[in-house]
Amino acid sequence: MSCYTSDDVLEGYELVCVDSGECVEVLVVRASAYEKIPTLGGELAGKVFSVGVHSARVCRDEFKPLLGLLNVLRGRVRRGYVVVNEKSEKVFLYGRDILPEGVLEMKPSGCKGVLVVLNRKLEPIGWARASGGGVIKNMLDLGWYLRSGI
Amino acid sequence: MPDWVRERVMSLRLLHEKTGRGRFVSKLASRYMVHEDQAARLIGVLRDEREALELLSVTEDAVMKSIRVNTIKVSKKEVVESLGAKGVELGDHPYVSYGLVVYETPVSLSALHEHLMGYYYIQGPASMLPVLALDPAGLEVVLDSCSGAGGKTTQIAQHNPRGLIVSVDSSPRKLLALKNNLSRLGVYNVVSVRMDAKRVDELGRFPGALLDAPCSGDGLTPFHKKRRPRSNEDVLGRVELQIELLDSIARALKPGGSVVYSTCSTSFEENEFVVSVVSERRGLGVVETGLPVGEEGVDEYYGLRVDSSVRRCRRLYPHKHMTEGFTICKLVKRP
Repeated sequence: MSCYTSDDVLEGYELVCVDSGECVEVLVVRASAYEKIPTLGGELAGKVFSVGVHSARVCRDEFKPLLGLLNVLRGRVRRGYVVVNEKSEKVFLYGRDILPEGVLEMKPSGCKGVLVVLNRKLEPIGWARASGGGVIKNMLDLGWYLRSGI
Repeated sequence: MPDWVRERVMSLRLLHEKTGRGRFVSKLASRYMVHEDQAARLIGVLRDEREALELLSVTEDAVMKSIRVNTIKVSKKEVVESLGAKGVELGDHPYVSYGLVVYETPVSLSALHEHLMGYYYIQGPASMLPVLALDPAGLEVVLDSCSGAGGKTTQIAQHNPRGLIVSVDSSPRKLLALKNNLSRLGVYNVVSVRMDAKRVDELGRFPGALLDAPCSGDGLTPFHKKRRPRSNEDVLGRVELQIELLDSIARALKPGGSVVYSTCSTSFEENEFVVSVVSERRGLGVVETGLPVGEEGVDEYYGLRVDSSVRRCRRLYPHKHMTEGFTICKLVKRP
């Protein structure tokens, strides 16, 4: 998280890591809720589908942030970001890349080039990676919620 | 299915068989393209043929379209300003403080950026009321049984962002939709469980629970596409399931705990009958919902009487409240 903000952004949350085979899925759950699970007194084992918000994935040491992580960063991004104009925001939310002329501001953090994409109101709208030629490649955007059909 | 459930539902079957019906029922059914049994069920709860006609003549235009502001992320004022700037015309929900009625929108509500950012959830106006009746703020743990995609789970989280919410559904497809909604809306205090909701008592004991039960959809007549011809036999199949679902929650409740039972149905069979069967069996009392709207529950239906405490349930009707048809009851387990 230090790539984007202060380390205390996850204070009050627990990280639950689940081995899914090739990757480790990272789920973020509110600590005050998580600590109540054992108090239920019943049989939860083997029935849990998910807990908290699926926020990231680590595959072969590569960190892949997911849309759920944007919630905790909202209003707290200090570095590792790119701010885009309105036209680029619309295009980005369709799953497309950001062209250099769409960038209003950029502040890399040096963390493997993964950037939080912010709109003009500084609301997080996705993840992207800087590439050659000034194009910012779309990794994952909020439009996925609509396109996924789920 | 347990024998005791079968026996109780049999009493309804016998009631249906012996209840006569006049020509008005067939005329009503034919004119409004509903099953004759459904027309008879409506007349049975409204006790007025003319009012049944009035209800069935309501079309989708007359029912409020609404969204629920996600107060975890944003204020109602911010949503009104942001959507207003895009040409969406909004008004206050008459019964829910963080609800908005949508009068006009130039673009589909699900495609707006504010929806993608989790600033609101598209939810029917009556559908927002069960969580208000439950009043989950301050509860350590809340069970949402048959949670589906999480409309009410995420609403509970708005009232209670720190307690544990246990959402149960048997469908992996719906649980995946729930997972995405939790991510989109920024809700971090939910454990989702895949299991048969008839066995939620295996999970432990809860101080509060919500069951928005699968139902016939009798209350959805204004929505032409959702209108399905439901015979009494169709409805009784659902009643059997609803009794088992509510019974399991009754076993899972802590003494003094409360459950809100709701359906998008106006039928007596799926509401007051289910509630009275389970409350009698498990020592639950039907209490006031605390809701500012709705007609009284029905305690007499074609000569069949149930405990008058069901009158504390609340019924919403399209022709009276401009909402989808809905019934909401609150029950408390005796200490």
